[in-house]
Amino acid sequence: MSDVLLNISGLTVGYGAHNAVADVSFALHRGEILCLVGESGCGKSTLLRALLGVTPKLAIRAGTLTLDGTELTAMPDKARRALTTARMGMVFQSPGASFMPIRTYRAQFIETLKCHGKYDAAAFDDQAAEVLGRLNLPDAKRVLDSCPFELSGGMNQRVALALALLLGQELLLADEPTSALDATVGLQVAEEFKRLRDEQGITILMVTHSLALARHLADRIGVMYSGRLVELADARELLARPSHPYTLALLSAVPTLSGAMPTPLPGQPPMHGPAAVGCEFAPRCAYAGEGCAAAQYALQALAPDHFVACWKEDRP
Amino acid sequence: MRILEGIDLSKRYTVHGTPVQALDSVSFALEDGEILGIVGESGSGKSTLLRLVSGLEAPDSGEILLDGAPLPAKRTKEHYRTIQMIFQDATGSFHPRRTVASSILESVRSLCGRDAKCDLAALCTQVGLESELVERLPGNLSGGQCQRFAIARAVAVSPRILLCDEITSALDVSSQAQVLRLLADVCREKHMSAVFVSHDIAVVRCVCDRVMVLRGGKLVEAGDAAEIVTAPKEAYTKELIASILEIDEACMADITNRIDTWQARHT
Repeated sequence: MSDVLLNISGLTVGYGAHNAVADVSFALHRGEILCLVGESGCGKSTLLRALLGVTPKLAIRAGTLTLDGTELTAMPDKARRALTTARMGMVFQSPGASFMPIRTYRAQFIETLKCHGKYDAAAFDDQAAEVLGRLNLPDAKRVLDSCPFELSGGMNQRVALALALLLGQELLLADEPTSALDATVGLQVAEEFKRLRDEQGITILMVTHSLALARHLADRIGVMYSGRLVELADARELLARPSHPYTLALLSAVPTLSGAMPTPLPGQPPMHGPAAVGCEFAPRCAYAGEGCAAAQYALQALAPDHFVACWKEDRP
Repeated sequence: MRILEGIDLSKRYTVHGTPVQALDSVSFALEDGEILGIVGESGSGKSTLLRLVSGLEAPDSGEILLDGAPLPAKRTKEHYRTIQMIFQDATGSFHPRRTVASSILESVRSLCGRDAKCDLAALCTQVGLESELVERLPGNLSGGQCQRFAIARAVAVSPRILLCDEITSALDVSSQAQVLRLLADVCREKHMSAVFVSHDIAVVRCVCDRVMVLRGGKLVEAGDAAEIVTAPKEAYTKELIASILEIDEACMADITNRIDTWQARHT
């Protein structure tokens, strides 16, 4: 069994006439947590949706996706969906977006399990209780008989994880799963993700705008800007030696308990998606100079586990 | 000088038939020119407190004093002009089918008089946005841009107090930094005071002079922002501080120099 669960190579995806993600390549290893960080609109959520392949208007324009040795992009849509949804689960920012708010979890769990051909009426209650218990929800009966609107945000997010476990999904795609929660609850949910990795060996690809959360959870961190992956490194390495000017700018914008006023980036991220030529970050970059407008995008290796897409020699 | 004061404020709501004490005899004082932070989690009563001060709702008991005089249950236009509120959902706080300019002008005309003048270009410059953006619909702006226009709309009527309800929690980290800096700058330049509500104690620490920690409608502790963060007295405050995922010190020390270099190049 190969160590790589999902291999993404040269992936370009877009809606309508626009590309939202361009030329993204990385491999997701079994049992790792990889966090993708970046500003709103950088394409990180679109990338997750493209991987799952259930968003109708989102088209893969180029590149390949290989799940455990099976090439996905060449498959017919229906077969691909069947394969991806059986093995990958998605956790959204607001569980209200993925569950029907006024139907009990029991009904929704049973329906979903039936869709996947995994419903066993006799064993359901025990299985559900076991999985919910593992996620610190000891009163399984109460949870199953509740509707999403009756439970707190943190509980709902745990239930979403429980469903992924019941379905036996081995790759979780998580889109800002803690950012709608209070800080203390968000931290607890983040710990649950960690435990899923450590105890169940589940692989997690998480999108977040919080570098601090990424640092806390991730084995590796990828930084995205305007639809491109601009830096990818081991989490510690990225924080110790941020090498793309954008990564550094993001770090300087994080508020800390020291009370220092965070430094905002000037300007706005581009709205039109990745350009064919030139570094998109150049207009906001403190290191930009001549040649950045013509630079070709390429991730270069600085170390075995550190890649950066900045051609400037005097970059950080 | 004390500009705003709340004395023994209480408010009870009924949720699904059960009464909930959203705020339980909370008092506070806002000094002139100061930014007061209120930290707490969902259900702590922090938003209720702002709704009472803004006049969106009346307290069950207790009083709110502006310049030492009690605010009436029915506020006048002048009160609304003096105390302006900025909301978490910036996009939703503008009329979706009208340009941002028209929403700002409406606010100015209704609170400062029909013939009041408003220099939109100067407002845009003040909040650091290109003046053509003000002619867009809120849906065609980013969340951060909308929030900066929401600050512009509040500032346009020359208020004395800004009430900020989680104004950065829907924004990403770079827009958050822009909005925090902008808020601190306008408060200083225009000599305004503010009550700044957030669940994130690090954000509050950056912009506020003093902090109040609320939990379940009750005051947990209050004090100087730096002191609360470095020497919290209550267990709950410690818990809130521990929940801030900071980039660890070793890493931070290593990159501080790089960030300084970056900032130096930048300015």
